[in-house]
Amino acid sequence: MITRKTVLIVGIIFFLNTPAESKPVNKPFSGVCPPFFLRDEQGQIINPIKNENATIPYSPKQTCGLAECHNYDKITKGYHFQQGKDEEANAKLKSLYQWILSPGQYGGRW
Amino acid sequence: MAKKENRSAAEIDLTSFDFATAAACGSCHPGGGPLEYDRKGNRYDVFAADPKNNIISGGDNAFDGDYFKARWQESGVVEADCLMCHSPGYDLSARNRQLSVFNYKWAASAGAGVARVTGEVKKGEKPVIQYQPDKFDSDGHLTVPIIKEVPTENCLFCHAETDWKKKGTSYNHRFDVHLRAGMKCIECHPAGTSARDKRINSKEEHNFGKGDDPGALVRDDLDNTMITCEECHEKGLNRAPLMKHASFTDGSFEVHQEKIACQTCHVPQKAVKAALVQDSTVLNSKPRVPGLKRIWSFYGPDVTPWNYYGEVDLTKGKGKPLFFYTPQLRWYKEKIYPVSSLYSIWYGLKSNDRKGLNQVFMQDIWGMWSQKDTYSLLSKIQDDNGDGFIEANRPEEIDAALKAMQAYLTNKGISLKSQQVVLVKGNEMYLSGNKKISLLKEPYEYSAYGSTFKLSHDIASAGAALGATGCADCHRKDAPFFSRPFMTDPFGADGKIKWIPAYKVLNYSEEALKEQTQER
Repeated sequence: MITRKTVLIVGIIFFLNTPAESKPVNKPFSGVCPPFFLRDEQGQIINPIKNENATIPYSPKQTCGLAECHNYDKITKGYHFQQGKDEEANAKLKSLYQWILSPGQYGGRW
Repeated sequence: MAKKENRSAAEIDLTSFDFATAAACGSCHPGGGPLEYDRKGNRYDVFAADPKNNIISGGDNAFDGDYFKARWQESGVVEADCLMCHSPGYDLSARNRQLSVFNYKWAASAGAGVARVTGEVKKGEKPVIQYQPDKFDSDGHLTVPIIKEVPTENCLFCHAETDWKKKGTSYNHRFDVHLRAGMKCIECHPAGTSARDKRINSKEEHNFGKGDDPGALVRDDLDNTMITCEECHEKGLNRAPLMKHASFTDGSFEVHQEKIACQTCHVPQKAVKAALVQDSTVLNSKPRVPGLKRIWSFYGPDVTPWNYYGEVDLTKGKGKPLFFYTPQLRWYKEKIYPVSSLYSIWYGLKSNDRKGLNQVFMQDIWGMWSQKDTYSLLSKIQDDNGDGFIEANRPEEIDAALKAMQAYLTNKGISLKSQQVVLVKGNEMYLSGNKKISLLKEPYEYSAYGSTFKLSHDIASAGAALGATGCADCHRKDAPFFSRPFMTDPFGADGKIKWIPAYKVLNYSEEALKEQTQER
């Protein structure tokens, strides 16, 4: 016979054995960058307030891509960045355009 | 764009270094990719600075298309500029000023508004940077605004002007129901974890959802990754209003949907011009056309001359003059779409032993016309139709253009033994004024050398779309859907524009037209 006590015990055991993946996961918060310094191409901090490396232009790659905040290499594989450079023009294009190097703006059609 | 390996300077027009300048391509391209790495994967500035590579700043550098006359050692490279898209208030003009004087690695600092830059690599100077303290907090952290979702204004830095010229897109709230509703570009063109299509859904993925445009050939494997009309207006994504099409009282909506793209009825009218005819065989003498751009003579949808570059310069990109017209219609993948089909006229080079065509460099067209007195045959090319632009349309004018170009190239030392100068006009390749060959093309193109772009912006609301007032919007005698004029030749041998009605382009027979235009 199933008593209330049995149901309670089974319930507690079930709760304690709940697989980890079904629990809420603490995903890294994204969308808001923490306060950050500009960095130069060598990754050095540029701090105009303390006059550190303040004569050097900042590097977006080092500033945003440092410490794996953002995956610069993955991001720049996007077609807005490559403009076709990373693609081979197809056979049809090659047969029509002797000048073509890619299907995009980089050596491609206008 | 010059090849990587070349035998002489005569084979080189635009180099990778030129590509990065604002005057060429860098003004819109956000950096990274070909603005950072050469075609062998080397970072330009690092490779050029390495003594073992023997790269001389400004030198010929073995006619390498990535290093010919380049000054990467001083300019640096254009890294992908995150803030160009992600910072509201980014100053694109300030960035592009730096690119125009070869200050490539300083451009991001100027564009972000965090620094003033003086000095120009182009003049042999070393740029000096002065950071603006008010862009940093007391610890020295950056304080400029940054937003994950790219603001529409930043997309339009680049797309406003190019989509004006190529497609006549206004991006004006008055003409686009989605902009009027406050939607952002990235809602239909999502990327990263916001994307619904598995091909582009992953963390930091920066391939944006895109459509399927016959005129845009980059990453065709990602075609149709954007949010479609149906996802929102049939399935109600993000509580979009569901389509009703109440005026289709006879249940014919599905029949229409099968053959006609949503845009066809919802882009019933365009409000700004597109350069639908682009002639690069003659010189444009109109005001405010910059430098080499003078080789372009553009014509608007009514096939009258359009001083596009002059308007851009005069308005400083702050306004697109209104010009109302019905867009062209074409079949593409078994549906009718509104399109901008471009008709191009240009000097080609036909090889004896290679497929396809090459083209004469812009600098050579400019060079020839700059010496008009030397190449006096050019004076034969006249404005026959009195529209304000000269045009090579009569056989003797085409002959004059071809002979002048042959003479110019020969004088420049370019061998024409194994290649011949031709003039391509639409789908016709002229070997001489009286001898022409038709080229292969897709049914939706004027020519394989002129892009056709589908029109998917400036979307009219239900009340302003075709069919809103009933079937007779399209199904009546002389309805613009079937009768709108479609240009087939901007200037025939008589100088006149040749038009045909739209139904002929859409391959409707006279019998089918009669049936379609019966009032119902």
